Amino acid sequence: MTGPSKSVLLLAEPDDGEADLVDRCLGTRRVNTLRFDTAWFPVRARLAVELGPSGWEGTIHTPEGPIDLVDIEAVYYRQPRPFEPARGLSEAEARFASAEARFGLGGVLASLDARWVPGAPGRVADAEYKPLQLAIAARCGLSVPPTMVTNDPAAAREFAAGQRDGAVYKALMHKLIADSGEPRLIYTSPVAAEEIGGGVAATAHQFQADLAGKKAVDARLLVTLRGCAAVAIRAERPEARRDFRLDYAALDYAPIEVPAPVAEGCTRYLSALGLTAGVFGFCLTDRDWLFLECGPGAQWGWLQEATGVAMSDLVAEELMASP
Amino acid sequence: MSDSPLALARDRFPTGLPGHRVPIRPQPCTPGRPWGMDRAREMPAAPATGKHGKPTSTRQETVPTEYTDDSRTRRDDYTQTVTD
Repeated sequence: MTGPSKSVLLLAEPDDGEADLVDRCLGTRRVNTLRFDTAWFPVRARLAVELGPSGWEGTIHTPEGPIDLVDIEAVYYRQPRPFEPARGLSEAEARFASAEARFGLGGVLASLDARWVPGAPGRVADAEYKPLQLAIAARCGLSVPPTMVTNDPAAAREFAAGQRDGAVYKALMHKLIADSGEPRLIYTSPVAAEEIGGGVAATAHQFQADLAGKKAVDARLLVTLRGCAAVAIRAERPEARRDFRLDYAALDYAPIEVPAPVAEGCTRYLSALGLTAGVFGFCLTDRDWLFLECGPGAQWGWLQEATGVAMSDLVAEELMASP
Repeated sequence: MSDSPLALARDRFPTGLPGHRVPIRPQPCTPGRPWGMDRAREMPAAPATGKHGKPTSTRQETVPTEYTDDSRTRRDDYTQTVTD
């Protein structure tokens, strides 16, 4: 940071755990922080800015105090909530209000001459495409599992039948299904070729080699342009070895060293996508680290809490870095 | 403003990740239902650790909306579930 008046803007929910950890880290470094949740706008926050010679100038008044745009030198973008128009508007009015908020306040924030961690909203949005993630990882020298994306049932069956250790299905983005009246989640699930139905034709489906049999542990890495920290996640139950989210109660966590080629590949990945940080998921076998995904804004706080690995320090240092 | 489905994800701000915030509303399945939707299963409870939620912990929110009933527009709300 270049001056005592400069601040880091934490764009996050008021009780976001990751933002709190980063806030605490920045506090110990005597860096001023400001918190803003986009859900506060337009009802609980007031915007008044004018275009000046070097950008937008003015103040956002929030429930936690005023935010002067010129004071913001860095932004931690940690999944703030959608804008919330006033209650009582019609759907058309609310849709208008939301779109104008998004392109108005969103545009003002996006224009800030600030360092964004893990990246500016557009970059982060781009980086959510799983096929893009896998392709960039491969180009950056990271090992990736055999993967197919298709809406061709025959191609999907052929792919599944061709995997020596079987295949799994993973949703590309849409995790939650609630049209039965109960929320359900799509986990990484094993699939035999003969189970694959014609409904695959209805949209894109992602199939991947089943890695559960050869998996030693999962690893979740927080990588920035200046360093990385990693935690191994060990599951015992067979289905949790395929998807650790199925057995949170019985997972073991431990810090783990990241091989230099993997760390270097992750850094190349971030640069390729214009990111400054990312949360990577790997499957570790006895021979390799296989890239699974990278969520720029994904969670890591519970891993720091479980292991003491100082991931928030990495984020804080990235926010404080000189351009 | 572009309505291109490929551009929409790029410029969203910050409307959240698609499919991570969905209404809980029973709807009949159709013959063209995407195969992957039926791979969904119930979520085991994720034990809390301090204040930091697990990536698949969820919460439910009530959302105001309108619906049409016999040509009359009425106010209502619905529940949606949200995950990270």
